[in-house]
Amino acid sequence: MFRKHTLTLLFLGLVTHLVAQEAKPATEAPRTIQPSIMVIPFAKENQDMRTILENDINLRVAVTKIKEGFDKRGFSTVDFVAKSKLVNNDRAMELNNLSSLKQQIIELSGADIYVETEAKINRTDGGNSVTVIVTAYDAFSGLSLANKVGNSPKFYTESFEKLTEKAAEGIVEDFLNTMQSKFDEIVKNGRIGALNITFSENATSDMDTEVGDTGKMFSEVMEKWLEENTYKGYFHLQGVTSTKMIVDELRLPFLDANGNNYRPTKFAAELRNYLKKIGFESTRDVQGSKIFITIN
Amino acid sequence: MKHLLSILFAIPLLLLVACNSARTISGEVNFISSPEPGTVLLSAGGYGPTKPQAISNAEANAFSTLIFKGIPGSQQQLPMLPDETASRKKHSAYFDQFFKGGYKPFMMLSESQSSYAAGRKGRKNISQRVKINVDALRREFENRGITRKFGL
Repeated sequence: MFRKHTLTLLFLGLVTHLVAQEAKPATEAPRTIQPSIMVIPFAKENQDMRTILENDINLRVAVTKIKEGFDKRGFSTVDFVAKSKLVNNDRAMELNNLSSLKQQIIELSGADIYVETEAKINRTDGGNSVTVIVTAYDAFSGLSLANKVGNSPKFYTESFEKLTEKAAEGIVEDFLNTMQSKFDEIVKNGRIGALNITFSENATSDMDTEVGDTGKMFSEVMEKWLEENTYKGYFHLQGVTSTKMIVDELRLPFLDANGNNYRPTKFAAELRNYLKKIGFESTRDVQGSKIFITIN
Repeated sequence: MKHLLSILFAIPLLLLVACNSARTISGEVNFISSPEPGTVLLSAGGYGPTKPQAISNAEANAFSTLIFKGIPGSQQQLPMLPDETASRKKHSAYFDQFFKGGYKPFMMLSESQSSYAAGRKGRKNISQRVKINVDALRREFENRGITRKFGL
């Protein structure tokens, strides 16, 4: 009787062990916000990007290969040619500045990230090759997210499209992996921003003005607010004078409480509302991820 | 009664040993080539008391290095899962199964490139050429929530 029970227990133990080894069902994938990405051709100063792209088959191959890499990761990119057509030519003429055209396209596309692509032909006695250079930038901060240079093998050929394809294929995976590692870092530590708080010439207060009946100076109140409103309370105060506070680096979350994208403009609006609440009228200016607040 | 106690003691011990047989991971993994986009061909060394166990160990080494360390010289220089300790801890059941043979659907080729013989330290080992479908492996991790999909 005792032996029978023991054997049953042993059998049950074994079954339990084997069941425990089975893989658990798939867990829910973590939520990801898809940033919009646009692949653009590299253009020197005073060069029109669209003309360059239309006239250079190798560049078109390189751009397409990079776009394909994103597609393979289940990511649709914003089409540069389509977006560039949206830019009002008259307005571009009026600006008479081609580098502004690039900025306009980036702004109009709403792209969070743009990837500059360049393809260069190399002719040597030992054969021809193509070099492809790709660089990804955060459109808000101008921060470089990933850079790669790829070289095709050398061949005695004039088929530069094929060489471009080889050069681009050789780096696209690594390029996307590097971008993803930067994304992971940003998600973990927040998006980088900067903040300047100044007082206008006509302002009747300054950094040392006491706020309400708290007994605290304006600069102290600001520091407290930043502690509570930056991502994980991270900000670096470069310096405070009686008329200026410079925060050279702060971290902003990517999502707000409702799960929507949290942009620097939202942070500026929240700060402005808070200032109003404590009795300070202000204006704000947001350039990329830099926020400028002026107290009136 | 004495025999019974011995059996009771021996069974869990055997189970533990069986679980651990192919777990010793070495870094003897080198990049050979990327035959097609989305694949990687590696050379991996494996150890084990029998030839099949050494082969399994070599295959597990190849996958472990690709997933947790990255392969220098390849397009997979960065690890697929950067935080090995956290990933192994969070998905321990999955990786237990994975390294016990669950990787096979992602292995396109595994062939011996040396004989199974004792090495310098006397441990018997083998060198395998292992071709891995990296794209499919990444999708598997994404679908199981082990890694985040491309994006923020």
